[in-house]
Amino acid sequence: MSTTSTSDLDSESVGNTRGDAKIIPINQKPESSDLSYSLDQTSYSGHTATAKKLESAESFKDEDLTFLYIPKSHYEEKRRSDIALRVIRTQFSKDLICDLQWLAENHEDADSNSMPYISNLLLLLKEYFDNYFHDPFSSFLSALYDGLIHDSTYLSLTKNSYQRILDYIETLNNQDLDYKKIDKYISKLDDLGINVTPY
Amino acid sequence: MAPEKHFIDTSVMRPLISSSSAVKQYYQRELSNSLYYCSYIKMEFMRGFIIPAIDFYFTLKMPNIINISDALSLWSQKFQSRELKAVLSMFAGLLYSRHYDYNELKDKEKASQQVADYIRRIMAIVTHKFTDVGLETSLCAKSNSRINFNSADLDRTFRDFLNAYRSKSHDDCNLHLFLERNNSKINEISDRQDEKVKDSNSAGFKEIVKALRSESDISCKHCSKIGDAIIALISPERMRLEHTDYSFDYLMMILGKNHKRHPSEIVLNRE
Repeated sequence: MSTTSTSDLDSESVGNTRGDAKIIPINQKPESSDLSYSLDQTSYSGHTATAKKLESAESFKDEDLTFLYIPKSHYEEKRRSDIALRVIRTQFSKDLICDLQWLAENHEDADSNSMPYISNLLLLLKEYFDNYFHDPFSSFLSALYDGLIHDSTYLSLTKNSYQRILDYIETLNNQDLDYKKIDKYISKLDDLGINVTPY
Repeated sequence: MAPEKHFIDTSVMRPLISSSSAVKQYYQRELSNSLYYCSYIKMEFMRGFIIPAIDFYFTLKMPNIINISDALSLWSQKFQSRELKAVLSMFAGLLYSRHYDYNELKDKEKASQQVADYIRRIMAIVTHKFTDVGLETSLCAKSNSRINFNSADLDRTFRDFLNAYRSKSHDDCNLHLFLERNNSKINEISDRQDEKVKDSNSAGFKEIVKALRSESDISCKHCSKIGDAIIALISPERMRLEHTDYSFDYLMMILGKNHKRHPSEIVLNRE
């Protein structure tokens, strides 16, 4: 069972986990080689470090910046934050799927063995929608959270229902999301008998 | 045999959408999946439930409301109507489930985001659960107002919606045409009220008849007073009107239409 938290994701590891890539702590200025790596590999922490470097670009001479060109447009900033969010969303989805996988294979009503997985699942859901509200995915997770906790639905769900939830998360994670798509999948939760508007 | 088709009044629509599992299970037993509504009922649902929910969102955003507790206290002390109490109970439940600190300023922002998202979710479920019968679509222009949700600017999302909703003027209102078309039926309701009213649950019905007889100008206020009569008149012959209000017992009896009165949400939750 995975227990990745957002603090882990924010501080250093996201996007820098492959091969021989060098990990750049978010609060440390990168070397120029780190900078070029981050641009190529769309690293989350690398981007933040790049942004920090650019903030002080006023004091640079033009020739210092000739090795890179980064338009400071709103679009570019949004693209970068979208990439960062996508990385975080993927990591969270993997952790959610890990718990859901176990529940889809093993969950039995009135069996306490599921509790560690259910507990972690609920914590992850809450952590995501509390911290990444601006991502439409958070809307789906919030609806799932409400549906699961109401009347302890997490206990009465069948293995098959857990499998369906897993499928939905997998599907949503692999898409560009808008609220129309999210609403479609919230409705699917409702069709599964999960009360997504219980209050 | 084809399942019975249900025309859902606003009083049943809300518990069908947003209520405890006990209430929803009751309606699952009572109703098939063929649930219908019309644009007028959608407008009533927005007026009675979505608009107050948005009002609560803006209460949370007020600068003098420094935490969740303040917002809930203000709402419970100052707003007493049935609809406003329903909104309070809904959001109290939602925020309690989040385990936010009711006395912390920082959790107020998270709370307002969750309230906004819940409003959006309700609107999504309405569209999913009910089919519009397509009757009297031009009766009220407000029924076409939509929330264009922008998570990056929630205040604007709701302000734009409220502005659009409230800007629909009398020019867009076709209530007078509807009343003219149904004049004979309205007269029948008015003429036969005394012969039908025998018990003590008729106060609401009598108020509706009084408003129908009055010479009031057409306005949203007048419309809200005669709302049940409008829904009774729109209710399709081939469907059963599902409601919780006593006034429909008389209206539907006089009009000779099929209907069923269900227990209130309070009674269902108690049971």
